Amino acid sequence: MRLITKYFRSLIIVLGVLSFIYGGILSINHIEANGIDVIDETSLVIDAQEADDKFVKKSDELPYLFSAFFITWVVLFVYIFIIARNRKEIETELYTLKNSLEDRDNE
Amino acid sequence: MLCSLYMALLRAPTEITLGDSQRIFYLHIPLAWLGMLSIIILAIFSITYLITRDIKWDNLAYSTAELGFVLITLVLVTGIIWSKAEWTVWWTWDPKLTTTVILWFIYLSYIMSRKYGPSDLRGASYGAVLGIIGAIDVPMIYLAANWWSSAHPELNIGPLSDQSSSVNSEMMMTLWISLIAYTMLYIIILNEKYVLRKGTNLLDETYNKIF
Repeated sequence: MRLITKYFRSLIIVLGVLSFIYGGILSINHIEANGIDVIDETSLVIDAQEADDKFVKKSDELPYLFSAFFITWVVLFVYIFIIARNRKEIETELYTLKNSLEDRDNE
Repeated sequence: MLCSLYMALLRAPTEITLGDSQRIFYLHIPLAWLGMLSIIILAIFSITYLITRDIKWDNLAYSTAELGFVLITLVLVTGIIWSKAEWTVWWTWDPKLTTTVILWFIYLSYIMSRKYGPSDLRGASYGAVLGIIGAIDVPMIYLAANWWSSAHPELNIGPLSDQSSSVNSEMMMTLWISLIAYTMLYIIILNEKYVLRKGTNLLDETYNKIF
């Protein structure tokens, strides 16, 4: 069970990093390849000039989009890493303490 | 989570007026939901602790508070980034932003009171009271846009939302998938944090008994 938990955590971290990188690359490629992909419920007609303006606007906003996702995932990964490291330390310390207590009882 | 990222970054249509920065909402809203949920869970655990005096509930409350603090910090960061992209300013004293900052300070005061306050059962009781009072901020954040003049739109989703408002169905589906994915991640992290907290307390108790 402990082994499953350990690998499950690693799997989540690896998948998270990969998906983030993959998503970022695909997102940029998608925008470059398809240009504007705008949905408006009230008006579905967008003239070419407006579409070009929107494309420029979208490109300008990509750094903000990237920053938001990047910062969030970095913070989450660091937080998970700190929890995992502290948990390992506590488990090691408890194990050592248990062994030393058993040795003392045997003496 | 993979599905959520794919939907948010690629699949969901781009909103016509906000552009790509609107995709930040698929991250910002789940974080805000979990940040607010944390203080409600914290209040429930605190009430249960005050009734039962079982340290298990206090450990759960502390774990929830720490995770809630991280999430609300991320809500503020992602909100600030979006604000710069769309409103061209990093910060404005909008009611929703202000009440969220108040929640951030509530989490901070809870954690500081537990770290630097009494380490015995009195500390747990003080923290529990603070957690219960802090939960009052949640309805204020949720309804801030309806109560006061705000740059944020009025409620679009949820039980108290304006049912006539229309959100694109694919956008809505992306939002729901994100909400589910981040909630699952939240449960896993909370469980890990709780086990760590329980282990730390066990270690302290063992040392106290021996020495």
